[in-house]
Amino acid sequence: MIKEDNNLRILICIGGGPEALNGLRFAAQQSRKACASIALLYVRPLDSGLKSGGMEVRVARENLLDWGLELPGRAHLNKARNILVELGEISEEAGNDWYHVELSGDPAGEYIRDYANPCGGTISMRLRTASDVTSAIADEAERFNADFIIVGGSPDPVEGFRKLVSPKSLALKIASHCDRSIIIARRLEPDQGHLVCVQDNELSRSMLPKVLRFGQACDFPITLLSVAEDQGSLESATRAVNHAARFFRDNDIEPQGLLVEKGDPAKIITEIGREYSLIILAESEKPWFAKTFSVAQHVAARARNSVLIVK
Amino acid sequence: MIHYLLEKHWFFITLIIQAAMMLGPVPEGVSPEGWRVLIITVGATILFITEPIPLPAVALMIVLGQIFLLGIDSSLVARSLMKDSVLFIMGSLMLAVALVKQKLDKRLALIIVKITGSNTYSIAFGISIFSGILASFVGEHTVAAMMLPVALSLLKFATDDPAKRRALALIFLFSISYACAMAGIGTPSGGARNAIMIDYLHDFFYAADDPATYDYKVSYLRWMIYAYPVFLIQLPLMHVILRRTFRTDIRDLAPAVKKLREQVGKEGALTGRHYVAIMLFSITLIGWIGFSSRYGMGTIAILGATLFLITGLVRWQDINSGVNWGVVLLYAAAISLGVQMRDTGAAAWVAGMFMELLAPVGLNHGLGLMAAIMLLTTLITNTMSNGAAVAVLGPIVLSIAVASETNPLAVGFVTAISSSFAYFTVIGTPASTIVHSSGHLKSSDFLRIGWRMAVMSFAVLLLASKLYWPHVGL
Repeated sequence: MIKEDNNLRILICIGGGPEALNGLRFAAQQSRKACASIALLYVRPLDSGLKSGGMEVRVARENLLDWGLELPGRAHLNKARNILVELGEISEEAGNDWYHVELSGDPAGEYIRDYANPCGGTISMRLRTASDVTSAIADEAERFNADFIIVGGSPDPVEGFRKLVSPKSLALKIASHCDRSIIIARRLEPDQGHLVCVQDNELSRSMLPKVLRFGQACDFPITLLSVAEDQGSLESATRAVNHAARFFRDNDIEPQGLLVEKGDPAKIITEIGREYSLIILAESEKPWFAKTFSVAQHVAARARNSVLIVK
Repeated sequence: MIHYLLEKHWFFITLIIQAAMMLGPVPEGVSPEGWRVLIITVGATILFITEPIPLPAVALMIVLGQIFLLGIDSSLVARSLMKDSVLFIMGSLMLAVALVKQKLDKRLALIIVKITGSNTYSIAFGISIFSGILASFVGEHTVAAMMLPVALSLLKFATDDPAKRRALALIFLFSISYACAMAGIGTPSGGARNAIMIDYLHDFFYAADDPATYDYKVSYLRWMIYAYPVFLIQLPLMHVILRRTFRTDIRDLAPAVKKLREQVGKEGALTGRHYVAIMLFSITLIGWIGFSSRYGMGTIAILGATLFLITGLVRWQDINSGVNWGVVLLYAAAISLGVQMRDTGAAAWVAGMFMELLAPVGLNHGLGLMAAIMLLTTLITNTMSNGAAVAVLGPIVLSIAVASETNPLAVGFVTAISSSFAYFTVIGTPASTIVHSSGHLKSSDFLRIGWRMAVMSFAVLLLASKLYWPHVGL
């Protein structure tokens, strides 16, 4: 899909729990300020084949439909739709027709429903099936040309021994694998400002225009933070904060605070970030297989509030 | 590219493991052919569990492996793919789709609530009894697909409160899935695993010219005599555990039952089409019980499916889209590989290693051996479908029986029955996959109740093998 306008394009993954629905309210707020186009996505893992003993689960699903029951994916999306109706993003009289799309996986499970929102953006609900949920979300983000993805994260991060034995959460998998910016939503209420973490490197500088676009859309106060790992890096950290501050001022946004700290970046960002609605930081320069060990991924895993990784 | 590698990483890990095994020295005690069979088996097992590539592709790789790695003539490999158990799997899947399409579930729902009244736990137990009895004859996926809307309709009518609805869902949905899983071992037609084990016992031990081996040709009724009581004892115990694990405040479902009756009542009385469907199913059932020893269970299942098609009760398009034919191919390939495991001595070698592990703790004979086999099967069946678990483990456990001088029939039954103890995971049993698809259950729910169910089932099966089977000639 080619981006046709300058609207923010937000892909929200529904089905990961209540946090994703909070993300929906956040996206609706952006929509009112900056006329965002929103796509709600529910991905159902493929459950046919050996798992269902050779009988396709679609037989059971068709039977449910025959009883007049709603399938779980659509139930989730309809719940999201009701929230958007409540928020005034979708008219109550809007139609209820799904249309089928043939992408991949189970052709019986892939549907889209489109609405126009009052400002001229679009809201679409997408139901997909896939053997790998992470890849399906990455694929849908490309198709939708999303500026960022919102996915619900656990508000109580897994730590200690549990972290060693637990599989990586879906939100963190998506954060590692998707090429698009991603918000891991945890109690995403955008009323306490955003903490923008910067570094004195090209990657961090290149994220600033994207953060600016996001900041202009959100219109919330921002604070700039740079963390030096040791005494020798303090000068570089200060330079990064000052550069970012200049950039935002040049674009009519006055940062609420400028912070330079010394220590473990992931730990400090997580601690200071608790006071804010959203921690914003750039994706690591590390190659894809080492991204799991980056500061951005560590912050995403440890934080108890929402994190936006800009890519 | 990155997504492809991430999606397929288990496939590449499998190839690396297989290459390492291939390039390393052949262990002492196993023939080079046996070692190559084990390389294929290890690869297939990892791919069954992790599913990085389509399962039919795994089946085709098994076929190719037998031709290229073992040097077996392709016609012989092709012949080894088709057995009565494979015909049975094919026929029973077609029957499953045909039965679900008859919409008899709505009538069944009426009968259940008529008998049980409106008490929540009575309805749940009623659902379990009906699910169990049906699943013992027609396969758990059929019954789960039929009973799921009954349970979900009751949930829908009972309450709008999400927490209360989930509490009810836990009781009703597990009543279906666990009853189906436990019942599937009741008769040979209850599931693919039973047919596969019957085939293995027949192939490994039966000889037409040796009357002493005739016991290894297990008839439908004989299977029921050994296995059905195990299911019947487990069913009420399962409900006691279910009630103690998951509680609900909604004790009476009178309004929901009333609405369900109204909804289902609109369907009217049974029509001629329904009577014909019931008659065809009865004919199939009688065929299995009375004639499967002579004609094979697979033949009877195919006959039943054919009758449904001829009478127009089901369309071929429905069967074609409802059956995953790749799974049939997969079972065929797995069984064919099992035969190679026996013929090359690979199964005996693995069995010997297993026995060596068990000997120091005294589990290499008697009840201890049974418990060890039960545990091994339970572990495997929770990571893959129960039919695949029996197809993979069958040759090994039967070789263990021979090495330990234990009755292969008893070992075969313990393996087939414990393959139903797939209580811990969503993917362990088709009924669990189907009820989980409703969106009301979490994976952690299966763990929470699964271990209690497993302890109960272990105890029941051990007691049955010690106290009951010897009295009925096993």
